[in-house]
Amino acid sequence: MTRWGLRGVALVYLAFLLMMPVGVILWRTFQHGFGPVTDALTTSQAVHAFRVTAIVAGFAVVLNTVFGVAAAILLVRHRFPGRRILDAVIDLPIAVSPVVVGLALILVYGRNTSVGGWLGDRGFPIIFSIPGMVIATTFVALPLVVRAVAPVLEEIGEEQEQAAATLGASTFQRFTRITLPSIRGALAYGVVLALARSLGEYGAVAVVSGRVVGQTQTVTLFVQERYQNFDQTAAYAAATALVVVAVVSLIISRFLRPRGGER
Amino acid sequence: MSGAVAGSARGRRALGVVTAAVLVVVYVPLAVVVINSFNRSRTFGWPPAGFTLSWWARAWHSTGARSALATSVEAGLGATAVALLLGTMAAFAVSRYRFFGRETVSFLVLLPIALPGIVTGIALNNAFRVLGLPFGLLTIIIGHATFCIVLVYNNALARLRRLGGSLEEASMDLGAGVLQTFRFVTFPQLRSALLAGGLLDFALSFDEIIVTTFTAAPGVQTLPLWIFGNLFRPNQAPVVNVVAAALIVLSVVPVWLAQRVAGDAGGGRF
Repeated sequence: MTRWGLRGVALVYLAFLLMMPVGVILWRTFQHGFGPVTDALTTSQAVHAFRVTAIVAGFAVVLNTVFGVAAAILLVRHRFPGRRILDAVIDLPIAVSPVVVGLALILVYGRNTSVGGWLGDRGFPIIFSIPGMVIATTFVALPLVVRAVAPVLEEIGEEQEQAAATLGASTFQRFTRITLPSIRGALAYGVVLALARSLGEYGAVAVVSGRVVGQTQTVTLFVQERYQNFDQTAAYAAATALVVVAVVSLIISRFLRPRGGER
Repeated sequence: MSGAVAGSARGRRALGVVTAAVLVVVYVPLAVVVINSFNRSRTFGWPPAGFTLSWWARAWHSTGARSALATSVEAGLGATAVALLLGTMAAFAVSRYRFFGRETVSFLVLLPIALPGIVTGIALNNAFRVLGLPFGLLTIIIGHATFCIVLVYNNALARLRRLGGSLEEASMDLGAGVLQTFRFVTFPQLRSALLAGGLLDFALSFDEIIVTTFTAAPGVQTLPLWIFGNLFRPNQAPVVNVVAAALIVLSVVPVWLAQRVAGDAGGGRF
């Protein structure tokens, strides 16, 4: 009886909170066939939004990959003062509201501040332009790569790296020939998670981008703006595109997820 | 340790530089928010000419901010409660029983984490309209629960898998009922995993903005929505800043506690 009860609750929850809502989006998107959808997604505004999202998410994922691997190696392989603090602050982005992240970035990199003004005068504005959006997006996805890679580094140990070192391999050779191949799966898993998070980010990007249509509008901002302007076709079409990306990345991440003790 | 390995000092320095650079660019602004909430200058002159608690006092007396705080706390507690209940049940169903569609269920439970908030928001907004559910605190709680469940589910599932079922079987063999077994055998072993998941859920719910936008009644604001609404009003700037600082503190504490409580369960967070 418990068995049926649990199963029933799980299924009802999934049906009402997930399948029905997402189903409604898909149905609204395609209720007039494919024509309006392709039309809505090929307007110059929509194409631009997809391009902005690709640029912002692309840079954010690259930054997070480099940072994630560096921080994971530091945390697992090295003992240094401040290590515990580093371990703690890496999870901070889960805790801080995206809106607050945006506000904080404006306070430091805004046009009227000394840092932001200095950079702006040199033709490198941060706020209300792409760099600020990249920083905001990088921040919200910060822990994902680190937390995917660190446990695997821990597990593989460093005997092989030490053996390679005694045989004369350089630091770079050891990293590319030994460390990287063994963390490959976990790294890919973290990258997929970071990508999904970056593509879907709304709050922080909404604050720092200024939401300028055709300039700093990402796909999520596009969906919101179109929805508010009662252009439901475009809003639902772009939302469906985001759903497809989310589902695909979740499927990929399932295959990549490192099989540790707890899967 | 690997300090013994030749050449690793330089590698370590390079790693340190990369890590430090990223941390400085993204974390210094957060510190600035907190420091600015005590800055005497209302235009946030830097470095601060002096410190004051008057912005905190003004924020405390701001009715808008206070009612937003109340809504946020209620929504956070509600969503956490729903997530604890449903997340634990789903974790049990998936870990203890084999049934048709089990893999699909475990896949679908995780979907909200990958699904962009705006999609979840619009989807739920539509669903509530179809069901005729009036927008209010309840709809915010349901909206937040969709992504909160994942954390409880992940934490509970990881713990259940590691524990195995032998203690429960032993308890049942000795004549304990289903509820007794849960209460005296399973729950005590799950407690820290659930506590960690619940704390993280509260922090997540407290910070959420986009799902909230689509599931709140017009005029109902959570703290992030209040900040977003007042962000570009110059005369509200010091109060907004205090609320943001409070939000940082209020959400860092649960996450820090969750890290301490979870210990080994932390791996299942995402």
